[in-house]
Amino acid sequence: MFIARSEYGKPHPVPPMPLGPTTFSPEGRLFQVEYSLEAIKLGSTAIGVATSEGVILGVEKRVTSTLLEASSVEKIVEIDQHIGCAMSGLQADARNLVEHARVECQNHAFHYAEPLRVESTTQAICDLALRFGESGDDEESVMSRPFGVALLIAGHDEDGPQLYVMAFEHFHARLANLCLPFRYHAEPSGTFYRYDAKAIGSGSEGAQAELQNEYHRSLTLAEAETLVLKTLKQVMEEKLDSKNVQLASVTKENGFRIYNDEQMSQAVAQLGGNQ
Amino acid sequence: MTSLMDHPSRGETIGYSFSQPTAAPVKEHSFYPYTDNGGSTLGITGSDFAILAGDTRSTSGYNINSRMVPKVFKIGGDDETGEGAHILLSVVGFAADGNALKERLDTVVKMYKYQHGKSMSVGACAQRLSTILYQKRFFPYYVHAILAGLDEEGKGALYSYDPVGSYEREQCRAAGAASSLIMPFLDNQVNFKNQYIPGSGEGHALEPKKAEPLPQETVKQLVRDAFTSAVERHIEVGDHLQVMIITKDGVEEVYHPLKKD
Amino acid sequence: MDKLVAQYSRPSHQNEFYSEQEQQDLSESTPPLSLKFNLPPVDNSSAFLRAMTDDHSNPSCPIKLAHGTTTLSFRFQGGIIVCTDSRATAGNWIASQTVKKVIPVSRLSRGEDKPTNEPTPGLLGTMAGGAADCQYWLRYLSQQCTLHEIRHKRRITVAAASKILANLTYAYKGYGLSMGTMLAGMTPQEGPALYYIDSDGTRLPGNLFCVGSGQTFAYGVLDAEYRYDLTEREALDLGRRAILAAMHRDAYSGGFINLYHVKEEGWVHHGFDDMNPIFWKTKLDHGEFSNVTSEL
Repeated sequence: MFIARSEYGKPHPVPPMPLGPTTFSPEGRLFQVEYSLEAIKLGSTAIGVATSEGVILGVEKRVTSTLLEASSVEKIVEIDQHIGCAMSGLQADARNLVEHARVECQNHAFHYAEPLRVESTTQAICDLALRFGESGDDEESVMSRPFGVALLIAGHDEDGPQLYVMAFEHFHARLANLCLPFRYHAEPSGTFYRYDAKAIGSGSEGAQAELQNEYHRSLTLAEAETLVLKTLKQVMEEKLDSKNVQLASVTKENGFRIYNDEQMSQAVAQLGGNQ
Repeated sequence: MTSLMDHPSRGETIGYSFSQPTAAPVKEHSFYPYTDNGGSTLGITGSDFAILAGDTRSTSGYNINSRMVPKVFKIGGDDETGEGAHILLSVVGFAADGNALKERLDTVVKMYKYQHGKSMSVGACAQRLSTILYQKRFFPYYVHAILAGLDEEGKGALYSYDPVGSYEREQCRAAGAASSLIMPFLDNQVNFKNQYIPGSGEGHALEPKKAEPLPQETVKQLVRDAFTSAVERHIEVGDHLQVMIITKDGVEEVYHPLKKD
Repeated sequence: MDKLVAQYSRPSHQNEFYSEQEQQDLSESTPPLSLKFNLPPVDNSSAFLRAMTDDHSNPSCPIKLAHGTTTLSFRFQGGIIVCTDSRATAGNWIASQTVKKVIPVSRLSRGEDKPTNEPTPGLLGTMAGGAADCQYWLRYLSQQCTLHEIRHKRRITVAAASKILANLTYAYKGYGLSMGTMLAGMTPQEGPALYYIDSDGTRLPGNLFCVGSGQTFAYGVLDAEYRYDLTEREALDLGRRAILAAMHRDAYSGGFINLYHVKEEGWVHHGFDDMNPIFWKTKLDHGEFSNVTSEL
């Protein structure tokens, strides 16, 4: 539990050869990374829309059986009071990232008596996402493969409401930066991006096109809510109802709030009324 | 270290671990890593400024080793000169520990700026300094630290620390060798302790004078008076008075002469 | 002996640089909540710490501990009353008269407490013993409770929270921590719940506790007047009166009376009041403290 002083006397061990997921194929490809992209493409659709009043997150729940308890499908989770996160892909992987983010937020609050900024939280998640395949000297075991999940991170801090995406294409780019320094110019901006509106998961292409058409900067929170539901409705295979989608909001006043059953029914009814 | 536990004289009746009766005489210790370098520091806040001051004498026992060792530092500035700093730290006690603490806090504040893309607020810095001090709970920094800056509303903010990181925001605080000479003076002159409004009543009905933020000129004069008086009565205080004033326009540093005996 | 020689035969330049751990701490975007503390390079670190900081065993210790406190807390039908003094002393020197010895154990990222009449959700902890120990570990407890709340989507019980703290103090037993704290809170599962935890690892549930050098005086008043079915008004007055008695008779207690009431919805602050006017009011209006004369 305690470290009295560092061990300087120890000779530095030779770093082990990188193996497995960080080894290039003869064609210069990283198969594990590419497979992880496939995993994410299979994920359910998740959408985030940022407005000046706050951010709305929405996911499809994919209730595959009438016997499935819909409330147990948890694809939007709280990271901290002011930050929430929607996921698409392997949910077990997301839990790992989310837990890391929660602890980072609390550690920051512990040491600095202030909430962690949304961008810094996203950075913290991305730092963990890159740590697969590393086998540090005395480090605990890290992930042996890349995370198969994409995240939408919505939050509110002194810079106002924000939406970040830790998505596969960017993730891939970051990996390329890491492994191939000469390709650095291809992705100078890093790993994650801030979006006004973004869709991830299996329906993301259609959804993103819809968001592109419909988004404007003067959206209200209520309009954003409708936009998210409308877009989800278009790309979902099932008929949208209040049980197979989930919404959440992040606002300055209330922080992160998951919609309860009543609010969900209201929002879905609102959508029906509009169309 | 500030602890609020049962007093040792009654420790036998209550006592948790620290107050176990230790009848055996204190053993001599070969490992004694601390020196008291004497000196005193003082901080007072106003509505839009904070002042941190300290003498510059460095002593060890009855020897005066140097007459120019500043105790007040700028934290998180751009370069050696501390240009652009918006937080001040004073340390008194063991100068080597104080210096190590200053270096560490300075590094943390600079790294914070790179990592979070904004400068650290004084409130955040106050909490961080507390955890830095507590990190050495079992091998303490032998220092009494005072941190000063402007809070989010632009008001002067002052935080005082014990050696292991317990802290409190205050209007004024004196630390170090002459703290017991200066603090009662500040209680009376800054917080108006035991001052009553004349003619407001008789006996217990007398209304206490309400403390309110003092103007900068008054505070500057109080600081100088506090130190000139302390120099008269404490052997470890003297030589120069270093005063740093932080306002929205930045940090101003001035030196005043003190007696050299 | 070999160990001792080895200690001092290390090349002196070894400590010129930051250790790897320190470098890591500095470069992490958020420092980890490290349970790794620096230890002095001696075999018996707690003996070293005691020699440096415990003015009971070594009156000329360089780092002066301050002592003395009175804190109390009791359960009654309307919730829990928590009341403390505000004095911190180092030897005979009063280090501070404005210590906040009631520490909210609630969500950390809420930021600074704004004065409000609305109940604030969360638990309350009290501070007796090392101020830094209490501040740090109750803050640590806040963090753990917040994580519990986020992970499990409901507030932690007082029993569980107190167990986290007791496990912690037990793990650090012998290192020289010094804290005697009470945790008070109200949850749907438990109703009003009160626990006493100290640095020896003790954890006790109970109806009524007083901790600190003035505890005996506070117990005297509390035991005489305490009933579970006190009204809210009576309970607040009793808490205040018991602390007043301790401030009056215990030289190491004094300053301001800090009074809290824990209810179902959260805690409410009932003032941080100078004891002096309260003392004279108690004496002159109620005829108590009649051994004190207001004239010379």
